[in-house]
Amino acid sequence: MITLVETDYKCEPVGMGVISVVNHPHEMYSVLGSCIGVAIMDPRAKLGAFAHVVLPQSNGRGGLPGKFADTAIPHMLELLKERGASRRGLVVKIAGGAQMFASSGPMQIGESNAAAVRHAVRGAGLAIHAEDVGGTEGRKVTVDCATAQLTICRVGQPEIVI
Amino acid sequence: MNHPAAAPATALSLQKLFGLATATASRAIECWTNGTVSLAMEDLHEAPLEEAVAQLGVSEERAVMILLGIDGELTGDFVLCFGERDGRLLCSAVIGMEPNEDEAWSELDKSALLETGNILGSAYLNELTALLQRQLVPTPPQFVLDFGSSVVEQVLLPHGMLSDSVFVARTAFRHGVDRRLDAQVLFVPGPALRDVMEVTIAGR
Repeated sequence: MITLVETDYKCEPVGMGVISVVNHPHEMYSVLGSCIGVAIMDPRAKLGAFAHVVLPQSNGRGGLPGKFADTAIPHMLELLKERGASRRGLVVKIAGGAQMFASSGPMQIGESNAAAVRHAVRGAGLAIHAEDVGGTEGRKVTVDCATAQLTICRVGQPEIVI
Repeated sequence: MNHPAAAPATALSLQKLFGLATATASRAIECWTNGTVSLAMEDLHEAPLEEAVAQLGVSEERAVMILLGIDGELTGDFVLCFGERDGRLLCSAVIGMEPNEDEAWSELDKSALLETGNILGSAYLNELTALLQRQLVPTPPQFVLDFGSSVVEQVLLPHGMLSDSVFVARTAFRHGVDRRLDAQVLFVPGPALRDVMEVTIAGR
């Protein structure tokens, strides 16, 4: 499912596997655990896409393009291009990838998700400008595509902006 | 490996199993809270992984959770999740005092919720042990204060590496006769436990 937000929403929740695209003044947010929130923004056009990436690799599995790191990034770039974003000047920021459980276990999904997103972003010829990844707590991440800033809240900690 | 969707007969058998387990858990929590809190399973169905958090009705806001793992050969996770206000209401029912309105959770409140998680988790695991005839070893309960959906997401994701869907069992907690509590129970079996459950259910 792809959500194109026009003028009806102020702050769009972005669920697991979903990619949303909004124009300023609208914003988007996700609550993230081990998933990664990927924001690709064109601050000059005041336009941005936000994906709530669930798993590292699609490996031929079906599902929403935003569910997997390897399918989300190309799809976000396509959506931004359709909406008139310029590839030059795109700002990429990521957050999430917490790991509350089984710190020594074989399935470090938060870390794997972050690594897969970094790989996919590099593969698309882009760089990550800022990230807030890892730790053991969840995050609420809000995207402002006009300033290309992510506001990140963790329970019991001061809000940070990257 | 991508775990295939379960057959409808499996869903029906799981519904029966979790109905029994929930009834056992309800008797345990009624006893623990002097009859003020009860629970009942409302429905069980298979849902796409990415829709499970929303279908469970887990809050995006701050929530208190008790996490209980299953260790050993057959692994899994059990989560008891309360909105903060109703978590405090449960504590007051257990402790027999007015709800604590401080922002911080006192050690007494934490302890009451940890013991509640222990009682509920053990009730569910006892039913599973009786069905599977296999030993299930619970870990000590852990108290967590975080965004509810972020913790549930972390519990579900390892399952998502193997399957595109999960079973969602909606459980209603009630305080007294008609007040519904903002609370959910989540049980996620690991791959080996899920296989044993499906084989056992198919052979019945």
